[in-house]
Amino acid sequence: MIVKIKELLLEYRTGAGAFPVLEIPEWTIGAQEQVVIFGPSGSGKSTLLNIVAGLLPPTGGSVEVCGCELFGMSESLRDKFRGRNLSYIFQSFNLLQGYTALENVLIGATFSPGARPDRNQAMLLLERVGLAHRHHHYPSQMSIGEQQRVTIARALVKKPKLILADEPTGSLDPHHSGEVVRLLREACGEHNCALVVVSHETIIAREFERQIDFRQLNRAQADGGGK
Amino acid sequence: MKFRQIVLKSLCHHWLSTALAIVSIALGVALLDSVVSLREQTHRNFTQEGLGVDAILGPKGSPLQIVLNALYHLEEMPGKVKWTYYKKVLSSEVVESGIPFITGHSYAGFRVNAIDENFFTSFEYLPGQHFSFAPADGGQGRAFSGNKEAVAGHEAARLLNITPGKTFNPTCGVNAGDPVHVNDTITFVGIMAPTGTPHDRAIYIPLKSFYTLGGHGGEVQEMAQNEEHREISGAYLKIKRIRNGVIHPGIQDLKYSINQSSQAQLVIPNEVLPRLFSIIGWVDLVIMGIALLVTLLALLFLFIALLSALRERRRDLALLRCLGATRRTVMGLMLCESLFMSAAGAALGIALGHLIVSIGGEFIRAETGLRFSAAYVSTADLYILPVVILLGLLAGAVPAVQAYRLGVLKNLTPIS
Repeated sequence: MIVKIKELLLEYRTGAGAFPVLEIPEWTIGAQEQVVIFGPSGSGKSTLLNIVAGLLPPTGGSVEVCGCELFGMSESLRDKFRGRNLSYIFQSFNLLQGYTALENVLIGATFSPGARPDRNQAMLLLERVGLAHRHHHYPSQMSIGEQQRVTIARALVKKPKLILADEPTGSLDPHHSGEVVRLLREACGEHNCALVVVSHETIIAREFERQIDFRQLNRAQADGGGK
Repeated sequence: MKFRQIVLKSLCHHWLSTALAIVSIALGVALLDSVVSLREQTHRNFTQEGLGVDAILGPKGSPLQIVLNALYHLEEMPGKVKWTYYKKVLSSEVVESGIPFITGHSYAGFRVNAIDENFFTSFEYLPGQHFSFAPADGGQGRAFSGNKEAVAGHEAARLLNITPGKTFNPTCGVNAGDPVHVNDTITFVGIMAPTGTPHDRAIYIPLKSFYTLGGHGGEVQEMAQNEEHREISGAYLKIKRIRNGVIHPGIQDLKYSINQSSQAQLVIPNEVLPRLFSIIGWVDLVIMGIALLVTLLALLFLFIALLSALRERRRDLALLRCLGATRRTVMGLMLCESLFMSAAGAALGIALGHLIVSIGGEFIRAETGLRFSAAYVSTADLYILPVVILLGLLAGAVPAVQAYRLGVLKNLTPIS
């Protein structure tokens, strides 16, 4: 299993007491599996992804990624673990503005212990996403769709075991959305990498064999809580 | 990408604030560096072995005034010394030799001193350095030998376009409006090679020619013949050495006995000049304080530049964290940027400081004859780089800590 969650609980504490946001008894994702989590905005899908990425510590429960208990590590080790094993794609603002497309891809492997940023490999990945000819362009010179394709190349450059994509098509029109998701799926398949996509768009969800309705997964949501 | 590439990328991306921070630090450092260098070189110029003079025999009056007049061609002598008394001092067992002189004349703003001809042969303007007229050294002509001959210091000659053969009439006095010896035309026969001392800005005529200048009256002209009545402004004295070049300790007894008399006083430049610096020490402190303040303001600007850059870059830094950079890494990035800017600013500032000394030194040389070297390594050169880097790191510490504490999710993830 690439992701193994047990008795996950996330509560926000307010003056009125604890407010449950996530409550997931059990959830797993297999190696190289491609999964879409769909559900309405504000239901806590991104929060789950942040926990799996090691960016947000839960209130309780176990989160195992690549066989390692994520929150048993120090924050610094968790950063390094993320750098080595995970890639995270956001809806927007994924690229560093002062870097060219090629540099943005290269920086994806910079903080991955063991992965050596390779210019040729980065160029191949840009070619794979159809942007080799734009390698010297800055994000401000590219469309949102092109930026997302660069992000996919960056996510793959360090050969991660898992890619987490949070609404990767949120800023794109339906035509480009489908194109980006297909590209993401194909690339992950080619690189033997598991993929978890969070989306509230059903059109995106239909692209995946395994679709998870977040309202059923998150017991806090099912009980009428939620973020 | 390597860590240093990320640092450079960030600096290039914010090139305007980077450049402004570097330039402001460079200007502050340049000011501080040049002020310290000029100050130290001024001290050195004023205290370099008393400009070759162990002691000055001068009239009663202010010792500082005597030093300024005899060595720096400033001020006026407060009186005269009897020639017979000078000869008596010269016969002292601790005095090796003496060079008598008379000040109080000028030409086109430059002092004209009547001086003994031994000045050009035995006088050392710096230890082991004698005046030269050799073209290879930058001199021309020869030392004076006749009554109506003169030689000019290198700077005086340059500024007044003096060449051997050119004539002049000295002014009786050193102030504007003083009478000119219209009937006494003197010919320049030599230009001294540059010495980097105030002697470069003086004109010298033979000692005896002073007594023969018209307009001084019969009393002065009689001095040429009668040593009993002869007077001089003062004399440079060379004191005998004991072992290892140490000045004969008897100089203090000689000084005491001369100063007890009503005839003259013995002034030791190396004792008087430090007092001059203690008088003007507060000016030094004020200038240094201003320079230091400017440098600190530049570092404050660096702090503001880093802080505003951090505000712009929160998302970028959060993204780096998301890519696997640890808190320490992003903190290190900020500190390295600060380090780079402060080091580059300090290095550029030191280079600029030397340029200022080079240009400013030329102006000062033209005005005073004192030589300033751009290659001089001052105390500031040694300490300014590490100190500015340290202060730069301190200025970068607050933004770096803020970067360390940056929340990734707060600055990056959209809410769904």
